[in-house]
Amino acid sequence: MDSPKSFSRRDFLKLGSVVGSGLVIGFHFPFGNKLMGAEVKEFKPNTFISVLPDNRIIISVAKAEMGQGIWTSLPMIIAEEMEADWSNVEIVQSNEPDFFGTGGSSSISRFGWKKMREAGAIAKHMLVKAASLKWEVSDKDCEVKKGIIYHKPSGKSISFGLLADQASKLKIPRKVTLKDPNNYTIIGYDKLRTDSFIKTNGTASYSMDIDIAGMVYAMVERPSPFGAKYISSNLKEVKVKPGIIDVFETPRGVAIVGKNTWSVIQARKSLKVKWDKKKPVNNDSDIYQAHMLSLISEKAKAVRKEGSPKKVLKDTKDLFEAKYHLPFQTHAAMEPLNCVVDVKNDSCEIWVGTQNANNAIDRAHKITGLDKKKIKLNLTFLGGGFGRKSFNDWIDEGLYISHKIKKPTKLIWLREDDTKHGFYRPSSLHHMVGAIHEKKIHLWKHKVISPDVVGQQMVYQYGASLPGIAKGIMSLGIIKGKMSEIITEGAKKINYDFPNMLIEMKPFETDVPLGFWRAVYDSQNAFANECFIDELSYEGGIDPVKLRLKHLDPSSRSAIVIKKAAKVSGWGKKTKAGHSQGFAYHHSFGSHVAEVAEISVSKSNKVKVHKVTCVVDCGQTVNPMTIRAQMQGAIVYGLGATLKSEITVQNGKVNQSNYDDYEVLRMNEMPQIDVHIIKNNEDPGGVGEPGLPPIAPAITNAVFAATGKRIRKLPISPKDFKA
Amino acid sequence: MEKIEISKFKLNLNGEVKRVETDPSTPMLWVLRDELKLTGTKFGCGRGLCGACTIHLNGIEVRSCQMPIDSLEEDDEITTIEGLSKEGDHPVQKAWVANDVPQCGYCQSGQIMTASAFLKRNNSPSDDDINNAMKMNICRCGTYQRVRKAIHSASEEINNG
Repeated sequence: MDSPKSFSRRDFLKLGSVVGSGLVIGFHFPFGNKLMGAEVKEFKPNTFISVLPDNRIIISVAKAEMGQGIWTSLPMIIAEEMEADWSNVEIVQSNEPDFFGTGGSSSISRFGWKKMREAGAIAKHMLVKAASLKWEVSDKDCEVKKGIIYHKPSGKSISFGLLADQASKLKIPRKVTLKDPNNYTIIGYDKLRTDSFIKTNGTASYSMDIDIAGMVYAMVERPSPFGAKYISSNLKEVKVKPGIIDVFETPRGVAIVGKNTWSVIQARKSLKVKWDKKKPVNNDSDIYQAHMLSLISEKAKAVRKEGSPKKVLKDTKDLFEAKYHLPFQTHAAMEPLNCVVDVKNDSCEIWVGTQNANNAIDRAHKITGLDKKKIKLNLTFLGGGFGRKSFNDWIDEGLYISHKIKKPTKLIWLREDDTKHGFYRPSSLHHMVGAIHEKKIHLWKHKVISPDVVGQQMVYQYGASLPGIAKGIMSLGIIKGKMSEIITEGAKKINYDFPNMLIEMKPFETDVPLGFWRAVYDSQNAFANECFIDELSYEGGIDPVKLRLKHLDPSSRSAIVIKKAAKVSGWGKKTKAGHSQGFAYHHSFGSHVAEVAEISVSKSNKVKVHKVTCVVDCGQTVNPMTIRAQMQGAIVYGLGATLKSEITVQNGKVNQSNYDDYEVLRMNEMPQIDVHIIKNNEDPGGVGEPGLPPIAPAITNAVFAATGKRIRKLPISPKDFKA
Repeated sequence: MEKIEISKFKLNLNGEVKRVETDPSTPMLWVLRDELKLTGTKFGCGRGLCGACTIHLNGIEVRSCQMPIDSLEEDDEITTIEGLSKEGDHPVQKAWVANDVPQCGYCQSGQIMTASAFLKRNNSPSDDDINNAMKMNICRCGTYQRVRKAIHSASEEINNG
């Protein structure tokens, strides 16, 4: 058993129950990402465990549920340490104002794991204490199973609910003992999601579904090209269209407000706006691609150096070189961006599905001028997030409109708005140089050429909620330069041990709005890494899996995952006629994932993916069902980006508009995906993103095995097979 | 203000008669969501590409974003996710829960409406049948494998009662 864990008692608070009786423990669930503009404030609980006299246990979740299953996995951790009966646990969304963001595959791995266990153990400790006082026995002789406390010597037992009131009179303990993972009965076992039923009968509520009395409907025509200034429009003509209440200019574009969605959609078709854009910067795909190619020969900043790469580069004759291109991608979550905002003279209420709730309150404060205590945010389910819903730009629009017209307003983005006004995963170029001698990699050089999402966002987005001094430093470019290292995520910390290694970065500026897309830069750098190591293996005449293992400690988690994937996929064995396999591995967000894709290529050069075998080591598992779902989901998301989708830009405007020209994976293209989870007691890693990076290189490596053609540019196009 | 054309409509919706006054060009998606407050039917693309707005018209799956209210005939019967079953216990809904299908859940009303209509036409589908029937319903969370499995298990329940 673990030794008792002590913690600062101010991290936990006992509170009066909202329903009048029972035990309520409140605690603070931090996100702590200062990059996201979060300010550290005084302690206020944002998560609660309520034990009710009828034995129900209500657990609030201070994270946004966007499909990742956090409404199930965080409460599972609490229930485990509480020894609660899982069937008595009910979940509610925490709507305390002091909650932070959801993203970075971090809800469990970086924050929930420790805090939820402590909270559960505190609750159990207090309930056991209450039982021992009631029975006048030692709490050491008490045992808890499924929400019932047993006193072995006397044979007495009592349920949590009957002790809730007594427990609420006790003090929060200073120390608790956490369970030995070998005794877990909930953590690490499949649990059905707690939100499935309401998501199958139409009652689950997304902000798109919020309806309040007197609500009006609004859309915004946004600047095009990116960053353009408003010159003029025919807004007076649009204002008289049927069902239209008002049309006016806002700092984010021209707002059209009407009595229902359809009136606004219809009227918007007649709106004509003149925009002006001076001095565009790399806002056209052709210019942007040419600019990246021109940067290959320019001096870059080294972020990692091993051995003597420069000397080896000079002295080696058989250098192997490759360039990998990745396109812009958008998130294309099923629920287009939207929110409901009700700004009154002395209050503001917001209903929204966002990954960055506190920042939404900061924005409301800035736009309405209201004290933050007067601003209430109701976090709803998100119809997908994938990083897009951490930017909150659309909430400004709802706020501007409701603030001006003083009516509750539902702001809706059409799919076309969502596609054309995203924060895109940057298009990037990866210049690789390597050498393989005697079946081992002698030199590895990776130059990452990409704009920097964080640098751009710090200035244009989060600037709004940052303290003045941070803004000052940023404007000097100090933090910005440092932040650019994010573009080498997954390139710099590559797990293979190469004797001579140089990782460089060359960030650059663009007007194209950039954002965090699922797996962020790991989605790009893993493609370059894992394609290039495959290319080197063929150059050196060695099996690609064997080559990887030659550069890893055989007992490392990386090597174990790779060996397991090779084994369960039948790597190197005979495949079905016409099928070929490709291998890739990547470590990101604290988890190791290897994927083997089995594909075939048709005569017309169409790639069909038949099967993906995925092996993941994410340390201690919480809900294996969620892990399998997240691996499958990340693979499906990545398959769309590998086989079908890309965003292109012309003169600062996105060419794509809807699911017909930004195509995503559909059911008839869905391969069989087998997920194998490595069991160990390492600290939990993330699971939302790490499944994505290996899929693209696994596919292109399989295409090479099938056809002898190297695909170095995504998405794969039949044109790539020519010549 | 330009004159707004408003017409009166009588709908047979989820087994009840509903009366609506609206612009006759309004797609059923927005009639359901804005006027009748039945928000289980979702807006995803507005162009019949994603299937999130799928409802049943006389038992057949249709994209409500592509169906103006005035295209309905007097005796047409409309079913939405709210009317698929009284207790949320249609075999497809039960199979969805048992197989842990939903993630974000936003597309799932549409997936369920397509699957339930399709199973009426084909109660023992193959994987290929399912792929063809479901390919117009996009899920960005990537729940397809569980959707497929749940349709098979719902078909078993339907056949074995």
